[in-house]
Amino acid sequence: MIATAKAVSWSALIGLTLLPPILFATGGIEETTLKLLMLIGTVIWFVATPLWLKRDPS
Amino acid sequence: MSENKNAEVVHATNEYEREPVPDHALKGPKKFWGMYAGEHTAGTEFMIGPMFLAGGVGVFDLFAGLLLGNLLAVLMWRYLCTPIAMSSRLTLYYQLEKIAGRKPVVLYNLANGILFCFLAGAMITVSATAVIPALQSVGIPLEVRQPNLGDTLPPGPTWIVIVLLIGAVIAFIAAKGYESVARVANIAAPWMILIFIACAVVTLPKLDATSASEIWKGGEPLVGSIKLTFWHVLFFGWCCNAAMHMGMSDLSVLRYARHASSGWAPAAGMYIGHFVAWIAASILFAYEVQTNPSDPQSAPGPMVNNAIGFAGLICVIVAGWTTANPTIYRAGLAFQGIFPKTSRVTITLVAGAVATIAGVFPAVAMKLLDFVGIYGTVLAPVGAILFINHRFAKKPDFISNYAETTGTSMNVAVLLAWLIPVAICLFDFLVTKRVWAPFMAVPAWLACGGLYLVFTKTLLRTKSA
Repeated sequence: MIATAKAVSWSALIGLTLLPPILFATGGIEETTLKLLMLIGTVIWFVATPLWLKRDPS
Repeated sequence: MSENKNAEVVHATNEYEREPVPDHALKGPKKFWGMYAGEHTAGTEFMIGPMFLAGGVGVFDLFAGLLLGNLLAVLMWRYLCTPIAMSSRLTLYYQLEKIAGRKPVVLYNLANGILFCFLAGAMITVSATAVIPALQSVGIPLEVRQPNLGDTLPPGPTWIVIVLLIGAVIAFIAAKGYESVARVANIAAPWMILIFIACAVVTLPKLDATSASEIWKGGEPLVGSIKLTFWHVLFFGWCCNAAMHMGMSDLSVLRYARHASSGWAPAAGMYIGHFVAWIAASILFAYEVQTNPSDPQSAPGPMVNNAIGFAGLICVIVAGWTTANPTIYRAGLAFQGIFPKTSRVTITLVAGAVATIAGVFPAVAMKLLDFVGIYGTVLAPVGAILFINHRFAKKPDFISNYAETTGTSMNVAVLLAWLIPVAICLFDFLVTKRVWAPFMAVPAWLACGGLYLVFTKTLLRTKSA
């Protein structure tokens, strides 16, 4: 469960927060798509991360 | 510019308030790197970046000034703050009480509490600039003019109502303690850093610029700003957290360091928050200047909304909220040091009310460079007292921890050494206005240390006396 939540969090951060601006800057996606993807990434990060952050012994 | 947001370290700073941190509670460097990386990416970074551009700073001046200024700040943490923190393992407040006595600490608490309130007010202002477009984008019809650079008065009644509501919520949560807010801050930290970077990446292709020197062109500042040079940027980078490194406020954190190498950890905060985030915010404002050259708007909310949409608004709100909240809490703690019989809830609500009223007026947020300079100038000199006490502890004739040793509650030498340079600087800031506020912190620190040495020999008892 923790491993899954962790994978979802980091996937959302990389795939939906880091990647969309790069795609937009290189002409790969439109501004509306960029904003939607980043909002989805934000929601996923804030839902999934609390599931593992507190319990992570590191 | 920021406050402690990390839950674990905040918890830790509330322990061992009047005793050295024991060996079993010491922490390794990793904890400090993580804490500082998140701590210095706050809502107010969105205000500072645009101010550099508005000040007509050139590209070399900006990058070189920030690189060197931040390096100087890190060196202060490593070589001034960390050795004293590891030597005594006490908080600033308790160490100062041992040297100065109870009464000067009360005055320090008062200054600290008031400045914390104004800082929290600036953070509430920043949050409000994002709450307005967020409400508008979910269909609430609000007609509100956002505050802009140089504004000092609230832009309208709707603005006042919105800030009062935001301030009330933040103060109420602060009064209940800030564990949950600190947890949100921890969760948000990595995401927030990427949001800052995303703002820059998205905005760069929209700019009519093919190189950095076409963004930060130098030249004349915008109306309401002063001309900023390399030296302005360097001193601001160096001294915007002067209260924490030269002023030794971070003794509370670094006294937990097992290794002196933890003193390098603030580099994470400086070069992520005070380099990457400021430059990203500056790029956002460059686009605003390009699209609206006659009257560019510096309010962070609309700028971020234009760049990356609702995710950016959430970032501004979370960044403002998670930093305003512990700042109000800490202001409450400072005031409670003066009024120990008043409950923490009451005193935090009072601090929250003061911060909210300050937030209604955009003066602090829109003059953040000046405010941060004064913040450091007033509080940092106290660190020079601690430095002298530490450095001369083994010298003959020097009484270390003077108040504790002699049993006095008022070390006059401390009071005069602190207040004389601070009064001169405040007079210049308020009346003669000849020196830019962030330039004052270092001279005030040096003057305070020098005066304390002189006064210990002329006004205080010595070992041989």
